[in-house]
Amino acid sequence: MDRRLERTAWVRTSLALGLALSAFAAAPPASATEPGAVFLALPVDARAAALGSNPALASPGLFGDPAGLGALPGRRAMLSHGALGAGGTLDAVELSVPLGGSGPGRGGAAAARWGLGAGLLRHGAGTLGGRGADRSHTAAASASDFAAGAGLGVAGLPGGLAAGVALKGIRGSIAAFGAATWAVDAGLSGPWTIAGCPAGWSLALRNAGPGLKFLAQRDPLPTSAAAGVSFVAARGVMLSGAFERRLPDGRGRLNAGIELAPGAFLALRGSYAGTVAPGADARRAFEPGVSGVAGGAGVRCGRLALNYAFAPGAAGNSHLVNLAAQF
Amino acid sequence: MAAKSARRWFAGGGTPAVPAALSAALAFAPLPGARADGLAGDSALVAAPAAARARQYLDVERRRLELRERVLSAPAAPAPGEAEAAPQPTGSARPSGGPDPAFKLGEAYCFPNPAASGAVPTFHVEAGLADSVRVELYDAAGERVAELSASGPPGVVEDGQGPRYAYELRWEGPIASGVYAFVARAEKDGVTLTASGRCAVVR
Repeated sequence: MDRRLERTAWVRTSLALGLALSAFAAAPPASATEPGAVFLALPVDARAAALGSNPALASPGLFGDPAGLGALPGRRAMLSHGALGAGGTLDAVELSVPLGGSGPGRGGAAAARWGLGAGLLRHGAGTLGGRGADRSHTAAASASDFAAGAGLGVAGLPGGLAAGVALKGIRGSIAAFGAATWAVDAGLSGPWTIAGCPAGWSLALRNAGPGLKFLAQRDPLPTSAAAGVSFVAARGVMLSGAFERRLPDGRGRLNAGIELAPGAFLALRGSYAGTVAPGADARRAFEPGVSGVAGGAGVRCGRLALNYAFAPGAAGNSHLVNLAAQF
Repeated sequence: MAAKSARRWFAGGGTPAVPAALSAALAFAPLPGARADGLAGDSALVAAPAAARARQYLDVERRRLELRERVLSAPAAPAPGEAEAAPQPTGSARPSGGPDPAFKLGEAYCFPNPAASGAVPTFHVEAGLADSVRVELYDAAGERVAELSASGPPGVVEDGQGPRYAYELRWEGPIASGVYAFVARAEKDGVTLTASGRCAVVR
């Protein structure tokens, strides 16, 4: 009985937190300011990217879901490479390790398990053709960004909840100019059932930090709050949905995705996302377009998983591929 | 008599007796051998007999009229904004030295690049004379952050490679530091020309 009450309380608390976070995410922005360091908002996990960057489907890791670190069955390493449609590349390396449990919980509850993750992310903007104020050619310049940090997650909390937090150091450079800052990610996830089907939900707060300042202007980070769900509708068919709001400019993103896994080693994915952007005339205007489409595939062979994602865009097509190994 | 009057006038003594037509012509019709400062022309004029000066005047006036006729009959480059009404000379048909109004893509870039401190990023798009030109800007995530449109005719830019028509669109307002991709689209008669590039902003 005590166990049941405790579980109910955790579920209620989680729902309250979820509602609070959703309300926070849906609140109008204080000022419509375009954020800087937007590379931090890009997914490094190809599975999550193909499914619309749903936080409920992000892989456990520093740049994915820190709440999933506690549930790792073993050590996990991931290499990721992306070619961005707007030009530039995105490369990441992550290492996650389980730290073990803290003993059985009260009343025979499952033991809490901890996990630690660390990683490095590099965004390369390539070389820019330099021009002076008089239109004349100047020396070529390069631009790149780095983020590195560590995350800690715990799973097996009452109600089957998992939670995690990650701290990242960020450095950006454009030509001879540089700036540095830090950001925090946090996540909370738990199991669910929808019409008797196994499901999961997740809440995430990403890239909360003091902003990036190169010269005199401090640009807000792409801080976002997101809520996502996923459930297995049938054998080999998983559906997902998520809403994410970027706090500095109020831009929202609503997405739905599907993953088909006809066999044990192959999965096909697709998603569509619509953007809800604040405007001068209409507070929120739905902007559908081909840029919201994403797709991909994944293959699993033993302890190796290879995933690929593709997203067409007005500025160009983006490709993301990553290799994950569990050992 | 006329020679004496002219001599007195150039020497500063009394009112000249130069015919009105000759006075008007002298202002733009230098005599043979005249220098840029006009001294040699004045000297030649003073020294020449009246009959010879009259012949020289008539000769110069004839050549001036011939030159004027040639200039007026030559095809002129259309003024900015008159592209639809004016003929569209291309290649060697356009007057030498003038900007080419043909709808074709030239250079498209951002300057200054990087645009540091308070410098306003300006997008330079060469497409001759177009119906419309717009520039879309995307951040690193591929999301459109701004769209600029040319609101008037192109300017003529002379940067050492000959005069060219160019649309220049300024990106003003608060801009976050970063590298942005831009896509420039010029349209004319249903044809679209596209160019792309990247622009860095440091604030």
